[in-house]
Amino acid sequence: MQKVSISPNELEQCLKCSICTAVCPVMNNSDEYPGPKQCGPDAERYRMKDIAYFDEAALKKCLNCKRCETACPHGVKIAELIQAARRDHSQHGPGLREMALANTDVMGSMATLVAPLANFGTSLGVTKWVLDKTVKIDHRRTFPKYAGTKFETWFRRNAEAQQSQYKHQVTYFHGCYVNYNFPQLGKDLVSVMNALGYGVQLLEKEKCCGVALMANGMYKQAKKQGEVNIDSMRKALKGGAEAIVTTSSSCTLNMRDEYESMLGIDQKDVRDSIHLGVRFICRLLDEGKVKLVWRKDFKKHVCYHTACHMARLGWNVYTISLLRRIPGLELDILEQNCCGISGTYGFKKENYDLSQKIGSRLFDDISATGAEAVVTECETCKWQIEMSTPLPVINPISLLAEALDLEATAQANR
Amino acid sequence: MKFDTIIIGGGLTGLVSGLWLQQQGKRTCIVSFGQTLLHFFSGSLSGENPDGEVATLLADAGVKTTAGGYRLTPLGELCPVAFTLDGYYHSADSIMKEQSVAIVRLPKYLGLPIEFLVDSLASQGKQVSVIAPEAIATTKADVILVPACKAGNDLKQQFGAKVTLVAAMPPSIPGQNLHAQLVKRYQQLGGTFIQGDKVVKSSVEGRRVAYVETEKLTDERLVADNFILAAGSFQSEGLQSNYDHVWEPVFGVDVDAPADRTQWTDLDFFADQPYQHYGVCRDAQGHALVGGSPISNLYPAGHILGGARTDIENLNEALEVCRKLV
Amino acid sequence: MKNATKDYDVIVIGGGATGAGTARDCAMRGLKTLLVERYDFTNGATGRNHGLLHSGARYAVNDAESAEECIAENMTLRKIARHCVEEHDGLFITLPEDDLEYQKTFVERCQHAGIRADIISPEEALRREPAVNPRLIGAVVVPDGSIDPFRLTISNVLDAQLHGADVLTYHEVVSLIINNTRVEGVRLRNNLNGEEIEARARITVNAAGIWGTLIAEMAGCKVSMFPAKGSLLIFGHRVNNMVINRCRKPANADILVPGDAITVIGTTSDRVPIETVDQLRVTPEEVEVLLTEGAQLAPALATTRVIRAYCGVRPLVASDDDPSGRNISRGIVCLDHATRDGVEGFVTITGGKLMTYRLMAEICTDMVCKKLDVNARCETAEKPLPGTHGESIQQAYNVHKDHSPSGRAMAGDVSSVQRFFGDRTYAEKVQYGRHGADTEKISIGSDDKDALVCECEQVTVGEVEYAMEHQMVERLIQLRRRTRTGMGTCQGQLCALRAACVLSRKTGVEAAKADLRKFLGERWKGMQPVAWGSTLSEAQLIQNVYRNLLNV
Repeated sequence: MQKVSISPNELEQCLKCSICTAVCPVMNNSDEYPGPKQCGPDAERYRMKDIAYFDEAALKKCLNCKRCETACPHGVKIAELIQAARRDHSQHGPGLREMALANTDVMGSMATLVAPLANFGTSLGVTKWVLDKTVKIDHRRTFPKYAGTKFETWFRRNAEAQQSQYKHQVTYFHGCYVNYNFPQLGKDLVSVMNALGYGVQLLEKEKCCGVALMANGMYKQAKKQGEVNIDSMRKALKGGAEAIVTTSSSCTLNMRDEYESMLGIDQKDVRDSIHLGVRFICRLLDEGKVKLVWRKDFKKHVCYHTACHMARLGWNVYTISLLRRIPGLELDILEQNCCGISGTYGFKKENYDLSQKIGSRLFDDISATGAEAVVTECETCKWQIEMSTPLPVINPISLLAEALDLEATAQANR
Repeated sequence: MKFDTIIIGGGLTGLVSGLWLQQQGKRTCIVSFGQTLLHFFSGSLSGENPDGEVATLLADAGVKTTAGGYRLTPLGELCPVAFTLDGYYHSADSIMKEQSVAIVRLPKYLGLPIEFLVDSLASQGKQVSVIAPEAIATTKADVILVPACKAGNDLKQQFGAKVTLVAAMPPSIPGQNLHAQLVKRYQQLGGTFIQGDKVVKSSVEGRRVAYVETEKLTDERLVADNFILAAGSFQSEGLQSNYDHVWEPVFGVDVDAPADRTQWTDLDFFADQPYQHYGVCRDAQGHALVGGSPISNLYPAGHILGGARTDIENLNEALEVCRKLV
Repeated sequence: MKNATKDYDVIVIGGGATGAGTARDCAMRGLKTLLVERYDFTNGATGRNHGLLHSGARYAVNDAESAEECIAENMTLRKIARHCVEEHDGLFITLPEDDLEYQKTFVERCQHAGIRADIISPEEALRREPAVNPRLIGAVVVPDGSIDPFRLTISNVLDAQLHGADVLTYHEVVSLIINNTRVEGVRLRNNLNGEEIEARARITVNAAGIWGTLIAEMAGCKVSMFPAKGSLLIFGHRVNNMVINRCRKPANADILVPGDAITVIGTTSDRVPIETVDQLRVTPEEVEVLLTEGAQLAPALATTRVIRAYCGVRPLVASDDDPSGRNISRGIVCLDHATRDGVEGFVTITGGKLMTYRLMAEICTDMVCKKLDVNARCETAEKPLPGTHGESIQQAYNVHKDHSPSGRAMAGDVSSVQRFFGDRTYAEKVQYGRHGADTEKISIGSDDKDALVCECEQVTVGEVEYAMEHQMVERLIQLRRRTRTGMGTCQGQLCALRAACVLSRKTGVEAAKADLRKFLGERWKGMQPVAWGSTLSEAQLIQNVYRNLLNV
């Protein structure tokens, strides 16, 4: 009796220490958000009494950056309390804007078909003005560019055939960003894995991981897509893949942790096989299973930004460990701060100014390092930082691809 | 992952230990589950005879401090301390020398007990006024106090030496910044700081800790020659309790707490509470005791040794431990 | 404060529900009334019970009269004290080790007493109340609910004042003024500053709960009371949404009551000597019993954080002069000491339950009016208490609430609630749940007023000022009772200091500081018996904040 204390999302463990409020990016930049403690464990006690106490307007301001959870010394799942309350009690369904922003598969597929036109169109002032006035997507926000060819298409045409020669195989969950906007990252992942002696396969069927859908209230659709993903992963693992490898921190966190708690998808058999590329590679190195050979002429000064969801995963330790091994790399580890965009949040007109205010500390820190580039796993951080600072943003996998002597590495791993 | 020393607990004790060891050229890793007591930072470290070493370590991390003297409590008293962070109110002796004090009242903020503070300072003969932030630029008071919260800290950034921080109800933003500064320096020196994770498994072979595993780094063995356990007391979960006993959750180190729950607390809130003194057991060489026998490479340090020790006591002892590990 | 020598028609001794209710009834019937209370309202049994809006079902088998009284008052309180009441029904469950036959008797006796008692299947019970013990083999639904005794009492006091009554808190009766064999008034000592004053009245009513035996002694009357200590535990969150009882002969710890954001389990029963009544503490044995039995009602309690333990004393009255106390009167006891003891001008009202306070007050006021030859009708069952005007949250839902798996209104009903609340902020909503229609008196809309004193319970500076002005609040313990400041899981950690500062603007810093010390000690008294797990960690945090950081 009373050996352990169990409560929904550990809300009872909250000691009201207020540490979460100190790290909340929204609270620190806005007077209108009551903060994670009040919206999470405090209000949950009253929501249990009556759902009339659900405060839609306040909880909507939560970015779901999960910095509160990362900071909580007692393991209270603060962000989850807030998101679960929204899922269960929100009265407002998604509007046209939410559906457009969150349905990345649909938008992405359409846009890549007409990429040059789409890219041109979204960069036009008049387009942005129209979007601002009609669906309230802030006109100042830069849209990511769409690729002419989807990554999946490129892979099946140019890389798939060569993969079977490798003794080891992994399956790559590429995500929407790589597929529709930036296939180069996917190509880099394939190059690096191949050099390490690992063949890369794609999932039989891959859908958007759903993180944007969930953020915008479309849980049913997210669940459907998630189940497709998990089933595909199961198949891939049964078929001999040693791991499901990813390059996006938010997709990874979503599939590993939120699929079950927020969508009720049973993925226990698959969860621990989902690895960010950096973790997978780092562990291979530590276990002595692979060797890395670096370019002798590689020199770069970068700063590393721990994306909020990466901090929640706790796997930035792998990235830092890998980056520290690169000779010729001058590495500044940035103090952890949110970039402010939080996926689709920063596109919305009512949030834009707050997003930029939240990110300003990070942008200043980046400038102060004097680095040439920013390294981070999160693609929406990339959009935000490239829009708000002069620096390019590189995924650590791409940096590896740049810094490695791929030929020599492949040799060393044969 | 392999290290020379793994430190469990990323509070002040853990960070100071990590900084010192990295400076000695050791490869270390700190595992920290959430933010720490530094969020309740009063601006000063308690204890006597401030160790030059700790202040030097902090200075190397860009943290400036003033040794000795007194801090100003939120209730207006001067308490002796080992040293005070620059920016906070510091007095060389036990009587405040300034004659006029202005206290800034921030909108919607109640964490500084201004009414009590005003009364206390007035009874010490000071001329006290309560002003709005807009009045800072023009006020002529000898000292202008702002609470160490977010808005107060922002004012400190803005006005620099014109305003002085005074500790208020938690969270302490300067404490949080201190933490960030120390982590930054630690990483610059090559340390690996694992934030927001906790050790959930440990492997002990032949009275030595072989490795530990954390919650988020699944299947990842963190191997080291030595381990420092600086996980704090009850409020940091370094010690845990339930209905009928107290224990140390990571390694099961012996805890000097009685099984009888009624002995853990004193009925008088203001009395010395027994549980504040509970801590893990160690032998004369500082090794943790499990089942009465020492684990030869496990060293407890900090508040886990007993929550009522002073900051300096803890830090000095931690550095003693570190010296054994080089 | 009124002139101490003003002549009243009636002085009521005791600021619990009974005294407050009596003062209200007397004042409403036009009597010049003075209510005196030695500390703060609800300091006795009124403030230390389950907060159960009794359906009376518990008495149906053994005490039909009490059961009938209870259900009638239950229905009345739902009308007149809507803002103090949560109407969520209760379950009487039969576990495998209980006698299912008892259920039949139980239901029959309930119906006989006019208490709705519907047998439902165990599956249905689990559907309506997911936290109930899944091992149950039988369930009956009755109109139990929960009531906030602090709110209830203060509303009665406010109404008494609105009808012209005077109220003195922190004024203790040190002796009665007796002339020949007539009680003519009371001698009072102000417990805050030691001053003594006198107050005179034609009738003095002894509504002092367990201390009534001591008051009666002052008049040379013997009213035998047998203090029965009861302990209860408060859990950190609302584990259940319906009251859960055990369907068997009443025993220890077989009532689990949800209220606001918490759940209460109680209670125990042990005789204690009258001298100890003011220094009682919850024992480890009581904690053990409460947890063990509580887990039988809802297994989740075995793994739910306990945030506080408290105890009170039931004023059990002897039905005769038998000193062994075997014959306890279960009902309401109203004694006219003129006929009973030859002492004029003195009436004792005692026994009864929190639920029947209004009826007790009515009976007592009837007697007082009779003795004063006043012909006035009791209206306390018809006129709503202050705060109960307009709709309550309950009414805002559709009357036919669909019983969703969570036992709460379906999501679709939220819109009617949202419409009712309009664009009130979360804090305003929570405050509405406390003060009902009186929240319109709370200042909002400025940084000063909206600053939060207690975050767990959303108490703003505006609400504290309202309590100071309208609810006789000067001290933290009073603030706590009226606004729930310090009743959340942090038990005053963050709010006590903030609240003390706001109060100090009225009482001065010295008094507020001393009050803060006392409050921290009082909060600790409740945490200490349950100081393990998160509650022990919380205690250490509180200690470190107040003793190290603040150096209190």
